[in-house]
Amino acid sequence: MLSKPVSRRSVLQGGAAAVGATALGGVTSVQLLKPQGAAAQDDERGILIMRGGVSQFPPTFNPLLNDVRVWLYDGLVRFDTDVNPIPDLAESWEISEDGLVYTFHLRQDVVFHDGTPMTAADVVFTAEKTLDEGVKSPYRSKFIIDGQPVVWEQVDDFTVTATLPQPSGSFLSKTSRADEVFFCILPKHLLEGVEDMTQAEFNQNPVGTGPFKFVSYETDQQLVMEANDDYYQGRPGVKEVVRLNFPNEQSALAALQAGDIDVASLREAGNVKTAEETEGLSVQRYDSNWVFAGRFKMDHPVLSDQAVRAAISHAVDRENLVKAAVSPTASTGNSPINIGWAASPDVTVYEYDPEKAKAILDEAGWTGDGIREKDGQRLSFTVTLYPDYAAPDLAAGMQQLLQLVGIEMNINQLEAASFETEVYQNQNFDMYLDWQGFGVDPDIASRWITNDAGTGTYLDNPSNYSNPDVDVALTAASTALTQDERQQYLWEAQNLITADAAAIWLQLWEAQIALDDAIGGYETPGTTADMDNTGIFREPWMITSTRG
Amino acid sequence: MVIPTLFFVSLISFAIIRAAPGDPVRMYTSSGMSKADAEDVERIRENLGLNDPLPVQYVRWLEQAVQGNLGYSIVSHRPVTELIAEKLPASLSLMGISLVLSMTLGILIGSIAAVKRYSLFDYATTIFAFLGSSLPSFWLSMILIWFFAVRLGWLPTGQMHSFRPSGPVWLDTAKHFVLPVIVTSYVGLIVWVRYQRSSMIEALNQDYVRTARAKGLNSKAVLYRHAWRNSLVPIVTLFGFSIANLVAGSYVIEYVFSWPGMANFGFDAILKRDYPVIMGVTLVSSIFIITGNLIADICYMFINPQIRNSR
Repeated sequence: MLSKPVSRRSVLQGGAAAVGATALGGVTSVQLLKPQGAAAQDDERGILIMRGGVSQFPPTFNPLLNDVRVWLYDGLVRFDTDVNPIPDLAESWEISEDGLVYTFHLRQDVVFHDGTPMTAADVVFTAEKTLDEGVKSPYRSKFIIDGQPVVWEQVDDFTVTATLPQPSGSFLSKTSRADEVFFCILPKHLLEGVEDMTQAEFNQNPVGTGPFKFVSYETDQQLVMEANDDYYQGRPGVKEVVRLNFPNEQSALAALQAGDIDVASLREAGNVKTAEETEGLSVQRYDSNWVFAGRFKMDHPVLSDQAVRAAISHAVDRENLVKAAVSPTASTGNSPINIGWAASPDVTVYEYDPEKAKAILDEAGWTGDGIREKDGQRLSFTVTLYPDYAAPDLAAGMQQLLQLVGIEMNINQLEAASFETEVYQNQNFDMYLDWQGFGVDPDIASRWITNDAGTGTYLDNPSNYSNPDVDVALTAASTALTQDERQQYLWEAQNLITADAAAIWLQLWEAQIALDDAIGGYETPGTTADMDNTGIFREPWMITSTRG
Repeated sequence: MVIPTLFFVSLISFAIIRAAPGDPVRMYTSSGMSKADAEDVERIRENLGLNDPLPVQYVRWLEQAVQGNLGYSIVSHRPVTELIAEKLPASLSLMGISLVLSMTLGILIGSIAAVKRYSLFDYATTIFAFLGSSLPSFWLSMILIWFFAVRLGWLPTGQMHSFRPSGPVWLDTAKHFVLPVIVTSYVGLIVWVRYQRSSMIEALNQDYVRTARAKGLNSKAVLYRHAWRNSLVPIVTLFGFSIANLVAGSYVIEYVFSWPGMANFGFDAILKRDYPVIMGVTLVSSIFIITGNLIADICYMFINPQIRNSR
């Protein structure tokens, strides 16, 4: 594990650089590229063993039913590190002038794992099954725009059109297999006659077009996949991928140190440090657009006051608290969108300033020694959270810092499933801590737009935030045709939201991935991360391994 | 007696799990940190019949359960019976080995401690048992994992087998069994030791033992035939109790050792609120406990003819 052939390593780096170049240079060069680490003989390729984890194994391998974050499938488009769409199974596409008709031209050289060619019929079939109400797909609403379904049609064997009821700037991202979208092209010939999709034999024996083929799965324990040598981008650099379950991070780290596995994503700062100090291991990091935030109930007697919310943000030393409670390398967010073209540079930033917090509260009429009061109302509220690793520490730190400026914050810690119901269904909280973000496309509308009165029981905006100007900006952003136009509206919305101090933004999700030096050829996904350790790599097929 | 017990177990567990907050659809559609769309969640809940009144849902479940169909997992959509059957061997082998080990060792150690009362061995046993009953099993597991798996690297940290073991498969599997078996049987062992010791002491103080000794029978025969065999009669009742303990304890042990068994699977189902799986696992667990008690009764009859005759 400690000695590695130098030549192999440098070749791998060459491979990674080549991918970087293709991302800039366009599609055609991708086809020419072959993994340099892979030798002519199958036997010479290594295998890759990584941590799976119970919650990270998909319940079924059918992407219509749940997320399948393994390397079995492809979508129509993908995204580069700057979140610009690049071709996947569609080698090109056109968008009509009015933004309503998308025409996808498919690659003609793609075959499913069983050898059947992938054609337009498969794409239309996948889209129609997603929209079929009988299929219990949680992704149906991705293809419903303004209450109307997107209409998918086959033009010829390799051309597909999608007709939208109204323009949607985020539609292209919904044809990718990225996080939260999971539009994975499925083989029509295997699923066509299936009456009950949840009972399809396919769910335990999946067939896709992706870089790896399904071999075997022992429920929640071990998933084995083998290289798909007919993968349209090229022959994968490893012959086999194994994902194993470890009960916790410590045991995954122990397995990494012992050389039993090659990759594990880590969260706890102590484990990351140990991994960094272990010879033969390295740690890769990237920030994502997911931000851990405290959202306020906007009709709460205390928190409805903008002065109180602003004072809370000023009173909490967010940057140092995040570094102490989460990780010394974690970044702090200031807005619903923090990275990429959609992040506004003009948001109101609430820097740490306890004196200013006190002054704001004094001016707003919240006065008194100890816990402040106003008109007999104590400046007191409760934060609801679930023990998502650093959340209890963050809350404890906030509690102390708020006490110093005369604000009382009580802590109500719930188990994850209870938290979901209490917050998102019952709306029973003063303030809650949870992750806020998005997969690929910076669509934040559902979390910030005014809830329609009396709509469904589940709300993305349980805090009942409502600002008519934000509604206008976000609605305009979702129907805008160009990225420039969307950017302008998204920036405006963020500036308004931060001026309202509508949330307290804490750490960005920082992926920290420990890798054995035996692994090469990888490129981390930049900011467009899938939130799971299969999203560690942008190009899984390029990974190489010296493990025999 | 068995059928009404199972019925009440199912009714109570149904009531408890449905009274707890949480929603299976919301849990499994919220992948990672994202939240599923409200409409999608509602539609799926409706499809699964989760919006029907609870009594209707319970009766629907019961009707199927009586016919041997425990329903489908809400998360993986696979039949619950099939999933449990897949997980059962791992649990049964761990529990079986531990039961045999703790029972034989416990009876042996307890008997010796009683015969050599107030000896160093007896004191050591008492202290050992006292320590054992005050150490939580999850703590003991973590200490053992830390020492033998992480520090020394002799044994694996968890699971039942390695991917591609370096040596023979049986050796690899045996290594995986060592730590969980130690913890599970240790917890059981101390109970057996304490009961057997007091039961044996009681037997040794009986008149018939004194008579046998007075008759001049050699002391080995007295110990084995008169004292030891009689001391086992009250101990047999411990068997049923032990199985209940093993089943309950497996929820901790399997989780800590990431054991691919039914308890670990059931625990995960509780976190995900996968109602049909929770009901199935609870039902199978209670069948074990009831069967354990039944076996204890039968053994008791077998060992003590008085009971058999009186019936």
